[in-house]
Amino acid sequence: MQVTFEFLAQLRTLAGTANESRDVDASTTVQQAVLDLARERGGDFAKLVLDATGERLHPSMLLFVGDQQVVWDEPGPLHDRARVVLAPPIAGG
Amino acid sequence: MSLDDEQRDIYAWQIDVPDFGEAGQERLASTSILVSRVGGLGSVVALELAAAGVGKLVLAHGGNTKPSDLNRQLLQTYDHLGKPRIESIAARLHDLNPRLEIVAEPANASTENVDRLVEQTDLVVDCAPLFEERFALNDACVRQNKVLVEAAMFELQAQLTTIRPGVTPCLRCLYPETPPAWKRRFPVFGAVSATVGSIAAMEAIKVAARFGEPLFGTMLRFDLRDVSFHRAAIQKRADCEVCGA
Ligand SMILES: [Zn+2]
Repeated sequence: MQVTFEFLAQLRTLAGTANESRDVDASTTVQQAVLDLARERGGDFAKLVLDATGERLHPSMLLFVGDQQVVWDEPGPLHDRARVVLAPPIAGG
Repeated sequence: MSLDDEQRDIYAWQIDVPDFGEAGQERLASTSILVSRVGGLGSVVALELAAAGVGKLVLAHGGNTKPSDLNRQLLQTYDHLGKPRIESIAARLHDLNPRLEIVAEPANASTENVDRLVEQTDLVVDCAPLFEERFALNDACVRQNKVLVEAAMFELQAQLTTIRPGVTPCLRCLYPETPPAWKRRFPVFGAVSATVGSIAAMEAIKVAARFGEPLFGTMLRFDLRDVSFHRAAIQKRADCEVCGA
């Protein structure tokens, strides 16, 4: 099935694109899809998305599937054409 | 607090909003709101709240006006460069609404002053650029059980949510630690901060006047590059150090 990642704010700058569509197995969770994406992209992108262990989402990163936030330790099923949003922290000024 | 004829005249167009009405206007007139940092975001929040007839604004903003403020800090002016920002902020708000009570704090919110600032108000709009300030405001709002409107932006993108302590996720549920990647200076247009500021002001008005549906437990994000808006449900963190059980 196909999922589309959307990158917001600083992550979009690092990725050089606003979104990326990928084919994943039907059993893939959002957690696994995020790990695969970050590890493949590597570098500063992975540093922003993953925590120091490289095994989990960075605690400052918000993750959404469609219109629901996904907490890393809770189930994160995906469906075909899911939109996965990675939102780094932003403030104001 | 009942309205006098001049107030009925000034606010006539918004009193016509059906579920707001004169009762809503009276509620606004007796509401006190803290706007923390009155820069790109906060200047528009404060201006809209002053225009709407909020009774009292507590405004926290340190430093002097700089040239790089002028693309978005709409309560600053060219002839005020080098002078304390808070003076221009208070003067321009009073030009619009001389009845507005203003408490001008010539410093940014910090763990030192935040409880005193929040105590004087019914709700808070967070327009701070640094997460240390945002966390100080969030933690004080949770301690004092005050609603906090969170507004943030980057480039042409923005996000907002409205926090009701004990009911919705708090800021520390979303960001449990100070984000290392956030930089004080970031790319933005004044038209973006003004859009976010206007939505944040409307959130504060709805909460104060008790109508509409604020963004409780919902994050609105938008991108003015393609003018797309999305809402998503956000989650409380059971182990949140600030609002967790
Ligand atoms: Zn919390």
